[in-house]
Amino acid sequence: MSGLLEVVNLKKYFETRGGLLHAVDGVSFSVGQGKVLGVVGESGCGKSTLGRVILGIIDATGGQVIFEGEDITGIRGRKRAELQKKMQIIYQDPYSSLNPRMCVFDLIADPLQANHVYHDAKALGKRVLEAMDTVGLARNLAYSYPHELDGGRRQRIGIARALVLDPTFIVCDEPVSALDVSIQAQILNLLQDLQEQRRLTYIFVTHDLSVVKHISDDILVMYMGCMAEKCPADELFENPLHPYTQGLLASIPVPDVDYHREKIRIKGEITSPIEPKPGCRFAPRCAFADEKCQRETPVFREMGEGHFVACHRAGQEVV
Amino acid sequence: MSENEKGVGDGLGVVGLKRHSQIGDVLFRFRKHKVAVAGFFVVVLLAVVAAFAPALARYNPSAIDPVNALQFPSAEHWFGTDLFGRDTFSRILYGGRTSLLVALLGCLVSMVIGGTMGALAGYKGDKVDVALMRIIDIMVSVPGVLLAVCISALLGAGVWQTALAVSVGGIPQNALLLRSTIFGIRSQDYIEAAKTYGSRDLRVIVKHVLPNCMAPLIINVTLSLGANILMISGLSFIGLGVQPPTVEWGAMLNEGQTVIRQFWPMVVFPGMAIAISMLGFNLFGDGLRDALDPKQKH
Amino acid sequence: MGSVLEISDLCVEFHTQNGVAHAVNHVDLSIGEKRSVGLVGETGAGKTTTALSIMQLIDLRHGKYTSGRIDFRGDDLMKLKDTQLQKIRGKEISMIFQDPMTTLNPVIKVQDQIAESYRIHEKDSPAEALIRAKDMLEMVGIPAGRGEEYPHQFSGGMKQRVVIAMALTCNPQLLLADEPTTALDVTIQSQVLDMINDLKDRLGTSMLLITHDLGIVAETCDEVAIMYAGEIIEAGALRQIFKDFRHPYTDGLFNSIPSLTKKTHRLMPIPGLMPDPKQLPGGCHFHPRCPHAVDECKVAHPEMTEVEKGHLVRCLRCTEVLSR
Repeated sequence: MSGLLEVVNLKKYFETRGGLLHAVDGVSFSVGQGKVLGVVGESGCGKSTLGRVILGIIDATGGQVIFEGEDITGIRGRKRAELQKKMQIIYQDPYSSLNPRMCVFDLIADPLQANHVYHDAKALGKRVLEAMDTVGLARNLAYSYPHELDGGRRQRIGIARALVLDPTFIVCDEPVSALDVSIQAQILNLLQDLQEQRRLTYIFVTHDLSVVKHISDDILVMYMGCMAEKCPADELFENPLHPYTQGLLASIPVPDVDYHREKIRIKGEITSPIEPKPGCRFAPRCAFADEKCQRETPVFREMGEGHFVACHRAGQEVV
Repeated sequence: MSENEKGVGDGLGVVGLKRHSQIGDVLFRFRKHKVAVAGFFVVVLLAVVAAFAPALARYNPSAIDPVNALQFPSAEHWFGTDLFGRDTFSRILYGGRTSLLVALLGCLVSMVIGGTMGALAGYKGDKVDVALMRIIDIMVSVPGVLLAVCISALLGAGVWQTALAVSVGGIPQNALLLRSTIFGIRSQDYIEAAKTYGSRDLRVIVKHVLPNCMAPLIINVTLSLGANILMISGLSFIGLGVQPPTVEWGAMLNEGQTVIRQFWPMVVFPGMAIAISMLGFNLFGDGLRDALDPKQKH
Repeated sequence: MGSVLEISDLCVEFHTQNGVAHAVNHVDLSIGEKRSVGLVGETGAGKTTTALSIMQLIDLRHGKYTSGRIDFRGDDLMKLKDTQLQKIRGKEISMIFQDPMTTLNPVIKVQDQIAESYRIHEKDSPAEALIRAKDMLEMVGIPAGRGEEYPHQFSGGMKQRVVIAMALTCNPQLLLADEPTTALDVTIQSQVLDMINDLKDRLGTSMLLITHDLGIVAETCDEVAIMYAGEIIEAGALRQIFKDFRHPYTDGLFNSIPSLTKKTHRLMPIPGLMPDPKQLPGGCHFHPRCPHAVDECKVAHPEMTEVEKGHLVRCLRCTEVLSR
């Protein structure tokens, strides 16, 4: 199986005062061209770090990132700059991700200028205005500054900036989390349209399960730097196998008064994966954990068609 | 704002829209700040005085006239005369010239040296940061006055020595300011974004880091000009700064203090000159601080 | 069933350099004894301003109450003096804010922060107040021993528990919770919501829950009021709003949320943006974004219409469109 992007046993450890923080620990997956992989998890599970390691913003501690069949881990300089045109990122915070001293036009033009795509000002301008049209920014906002615009429009600038170099792969790092629901829906639709029209490949990082279900083909659930479960989006919601996924799903408040379900509450809180001991990282919070879970790190194994889970007890009994 | 697509033009030019620089916004916001505008005029006045002192002065500031010594303010001598009969008004004009020039020199030197150190420390981080910051720590631990004493002890007192003392004294502040500003900017997502779409280091610095440093830098220049004037006057007052025959406000105060109980004009006028210029720079700086913030509503 | 709080015709405006922002316009709201009311809306709808008005904490340098009564146990809070209000705030009515990090003082021990409001209001000895603080900690699920610690030693969820303990120390009649779980992770959010629900039932507290999340409302509230542009545009019992909503904005809100239970390929968001409270559109404030707007909507400002007992809608066409 090979896709546009393949990640093999990717690791990123950070040095902290308390010891090595295993932010991303042995993550492997592959995403096909034109597919959306949703990455979900709570804060501190390593999902944002994962996106940055894939893009080469942060160096990997171990493992490989294979893009279009080529190992791009640790590539620097000229070649990295070429790669970056194909791999882009959309940020969560539409405030800190835009240079406050640049107007909308300059913000979107900057990637083109940095890569010397056009030598003709007119062609450059045309391209920028087209990009503004694509993301639904009125052209008369070209010379406005970010602080004059609302969160939704700012996020549109961020999307236009990521798109203007015609990338094939985009990491969306919580792109709608800072927005109000009605604006969130507008931006989600935009991202979805762009993805379908241009056959873009997304890694969609978020903590919001309903958003990730809506937009993703496959979903990867992360817990404390490790993969907990990965399967097609619908399968995850119909048949979650990992106790963490089950608890996560049961924790989402559903806006439907007739929707009743069993309340599975996960006790305790997520901690930092600093110098983790062997054993399942979810065991301290897991209602089904036994002695083996404390001792042995579970293998990420295939339970059903395309359904992977890292749990000793998954499938053994009804959990 | 209307989403209406009317008024959208051809290829590049969007009809009816003009690129507006942020300088216009800054001026607009600054003008609303009445006190800051007053400060601005004080600063302009000071600059005019410094530039045109010879034309504005009615007497030679060093011309001794013992017959007319210790005159109170009159039509002849607006601010009175001093112990040697020199015209205080003319001396204040020339003194302003010295103060402002030395302050400006000190400010520029400390900004260039301190700013570079701070920028390097902030942008490079890690070992460069640690090394540079230890140097700054050492500099901070020596009080400014003590530094000035050392410099005048080594090199003698005078205009250049004073400028040197002020420059060295201002380095740590500039370095720390730029370092923390750049640290703040470096962690912003837009810097990461710029690198992600392939901007080289130099481009990141020129297009993204520097424009966002300018505001604190400009504010710091105005505020430290005021502070420098005060320091120069202070040094001259205790006899370590500018030496006669060069005229300087602090030195004038020093001369006046011997007769402070009998003859007030020799102390009051230089004192007021120092206070007003200090106030002017501070008000101007505060106004700029508000006006330069792009997030301010206008 | 009597009501604990009765707001009528509340208007709040803020004076800024560029004009007057009409943040809250003619809001009527009543909270029954032991009931939970959800106040739902997007950023800038006026939810927090409404809550702050109940506490009489609007900054009067910029803000102004232009009309309204807020009846709480027979007193109009708008007419009370500061000293009287201080007796009510924190004791009779308390508030939980969104961000637990900024609500707690970083240099005071957690138990002392909880004990403080008890000491002020109940005039108890410090020792008794401390005992009460420890009881409260146990009640929100934190071992009493941890009261000796400082806020930075607590995680986000724990801090919010402490904030809730503080708010409930004096057994208030009314709890105002402003997005109490927005800053928390979803598993922690469900723990905290469960706890709030449980404590509220046990102590018999009424609650006004401010949130943008309809899911939280569905799980915690008895009644719902939807706010848009400073007005309540639809209000009623939980079921009425969730199963029989009549206002196009409420419809838009529900359509904007990706569903967990149903399969939707495309969301149907409300077009456009929330209006600027300084320049509210004439007629119905929602008409520029409304798919069902007719010419009359542009001129006539709709009043609240009762479509069913207890179910009020501010829409001229509430009996035609969306009516099932």
